Amino acid sequence: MILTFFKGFWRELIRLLKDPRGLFMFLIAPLLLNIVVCGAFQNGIVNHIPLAAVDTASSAKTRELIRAFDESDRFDVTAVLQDTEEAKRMLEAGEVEGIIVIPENYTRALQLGQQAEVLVGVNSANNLVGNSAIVSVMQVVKTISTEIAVKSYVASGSSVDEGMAQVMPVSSVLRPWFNPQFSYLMYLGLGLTGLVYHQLFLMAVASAFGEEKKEGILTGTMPKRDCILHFFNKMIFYGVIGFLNILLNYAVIMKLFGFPMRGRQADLILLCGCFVFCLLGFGALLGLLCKNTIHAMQWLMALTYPFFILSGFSWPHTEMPAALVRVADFLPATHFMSPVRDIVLMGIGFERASLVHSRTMLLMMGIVAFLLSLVVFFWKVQWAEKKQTAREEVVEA
Amino acid sequence: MKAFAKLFLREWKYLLKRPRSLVLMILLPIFVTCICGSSYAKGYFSDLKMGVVDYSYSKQTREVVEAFRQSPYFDIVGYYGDEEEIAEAMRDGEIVGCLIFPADFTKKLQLGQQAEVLLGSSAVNMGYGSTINLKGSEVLGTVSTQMAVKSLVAKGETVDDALAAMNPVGFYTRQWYNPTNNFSYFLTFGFVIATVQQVLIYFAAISLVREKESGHLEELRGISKSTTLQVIVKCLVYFMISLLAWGICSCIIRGVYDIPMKGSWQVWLAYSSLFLLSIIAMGQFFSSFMPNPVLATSLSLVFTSPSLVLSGYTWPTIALPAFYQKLAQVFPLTHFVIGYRNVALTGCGFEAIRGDMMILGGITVVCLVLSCIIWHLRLTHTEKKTQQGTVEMEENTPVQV
Repeated sequence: MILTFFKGFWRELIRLLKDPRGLFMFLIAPLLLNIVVCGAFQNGIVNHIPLAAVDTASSAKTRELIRAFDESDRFDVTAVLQDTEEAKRMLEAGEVEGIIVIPENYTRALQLGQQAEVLVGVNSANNLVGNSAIVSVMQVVKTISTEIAVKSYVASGSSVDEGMAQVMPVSSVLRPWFNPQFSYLMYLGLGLTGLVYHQLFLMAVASAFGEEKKEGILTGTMPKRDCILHFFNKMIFYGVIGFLNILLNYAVIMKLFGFPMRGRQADLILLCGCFVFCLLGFGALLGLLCKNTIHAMQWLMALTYPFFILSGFSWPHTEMPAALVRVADFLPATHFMSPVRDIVLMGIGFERASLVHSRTMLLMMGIVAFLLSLVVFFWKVQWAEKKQTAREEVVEA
Repeated sequence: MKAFAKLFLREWKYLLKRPRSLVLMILLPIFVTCICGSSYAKGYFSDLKMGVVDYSYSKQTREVVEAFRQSPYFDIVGYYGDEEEIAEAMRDGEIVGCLIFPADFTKKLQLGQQAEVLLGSSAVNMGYGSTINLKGSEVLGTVSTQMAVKSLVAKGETVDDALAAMNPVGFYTRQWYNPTNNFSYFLTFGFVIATVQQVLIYFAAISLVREKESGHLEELRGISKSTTLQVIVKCLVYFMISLLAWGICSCIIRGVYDIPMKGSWQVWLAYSSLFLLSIIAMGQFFSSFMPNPVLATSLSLVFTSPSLVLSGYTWPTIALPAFYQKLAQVFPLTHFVIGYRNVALTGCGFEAIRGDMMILGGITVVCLVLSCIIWHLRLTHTEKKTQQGTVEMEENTPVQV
């Protein structure tokens, strides 16, 4: 029995090595895709947003305002126009992402000591970028406005500090906690790595079980006891390799893209272990229930985006309908993608109730999926045995 | 014409015999549309839980806190002792943002000096972070201007004069194409289109190679020897199904979830058709040279996985490294997903998307031509091998007298 058990490991290893596609999808593709995906976000923040300025009454004051936008890291004024319609056309064509409209009476209003008004429009079809751009717009205009107001106070004999205090009694400092650069890479990288791994690992396990139907332990040619041993063999083999692979993925991604590790490594490793255990059961179940590997792959890939959306990783559960949140609670991705980010960026550990809940859910779902897959496997073995017996009887007859 | 009809019906029969395929191709994009629409139904962040650390507890600080309380975007959860407690509360998920008043806040205001307040946000989720920064800055700006204007009005100036003195350059912002800052406008199109792409490319990627795998090449050749016809007919069938699925999804997005579709139906039809055709053509291209369906599906999976990230839909193309910008041009999704969002939200016409449509057309033509050529070469090779095999078998068979 022990010999069969160890032979099983050898069998799994040889099968994997003989299948370049399986080897690539299981071990290489996750790392490759994760590097590509995180690499896309490596700039972290969106700078040099192209703007068009509509300046119908060109003067030193209007040019000063335009220059203030252009000198900001956030924006590049790529066109100074006379016509608002032309600016709108550029916005629609995607040539610029925002428009500054300086009205004709801008300079005159300033000279008369009246408030001059500027319209700043930003393409908010992408909310995240739009919101950040508006905050920067507010900062640029506020700075210019304050400068002008303070100058007039200074001219009337006040100091700069007094002028500042008069003009802007309350100033604000923005501080993004746990992600001080406000980086998209920090926000998305860790979770997307988990999602890519989730899909490819499930696929690898599903393929490993699915392929056994064609030739292998689910063809009815092997004694039942050996079949069950092979089931455990497979689980342990893919579990161990998968666990090491997810750790390798996170180690490479974090090293390569400079993620801070504010939490305990042991917590991250434990969560990865629970995640891999949970996925093992689901992967085996999928491979056993689907007709073949292609079917399993199609279902998995088709469900990538629902998994991502429902995980609450980008759009939090607090803003989702309660029914969907209940469904999401039974998805492994929910209990891994956000918690990983929380461990790495926020430095939380298993002393927190939220993380303990995630670990419990992963383990519970893993146990249920494992037991279910064992039952289905046993049923498939018996069914294959029956078929084989019938086949042999026909041959004998 | 007869061969065309036969091939057409054969492909339909194949799909109808396998309802799973149709479920995946039609019902799955609809399912994803409903998931997206429902998840993002609220559209924007509201009642963001904020904590306050007030080292300078006074009427003025309470005024600022009250201004946040009045805003629909914020919900003041309570006061905390220090920054460490705030960080702990963020880690526990009690709050997602905070206001911190330094000890000298009130004193500075009373002395006529500028006082500073810290607006913090948990930026691990940038949805929270960007909303808190934007809406919080608006609230603080308003409070600051109010205080400044009040002091001048107290000295006898009019409100307008005071405003002009304090804030000589006023501004109003317009969030074009998404005025309510609705996240469902931003994200729904992208996820639904990417799902349509995923599903479609898998089926297209096995459409040719499965004929070889299942041993139906002879049957296919029996109907028509023209590989071009074989490729085109399959393309047409998948196009019809995917157009139907995408049409239903578009109607649900517009009708059920109230996400605007300002573009004309002609633009919708032409642009969508080109996109779907380019995906099918690309899938068939993979299918034409891949040795088996599993490999074809795997390749299309690896190929399409990063396409949404690289398309510039969520993370703008200008922020992508130069190499990625070039790489992104290969994916049909890059030339559709942003353009389509613009058509839907801005109502732009053919002029704005002409470049993208031309690239999609180019991808379609190149992939279809390559598919036809490779598939033809492959079939010829297989035929030759079969003939050789038959001749060898005949030669090796002993002649019985």
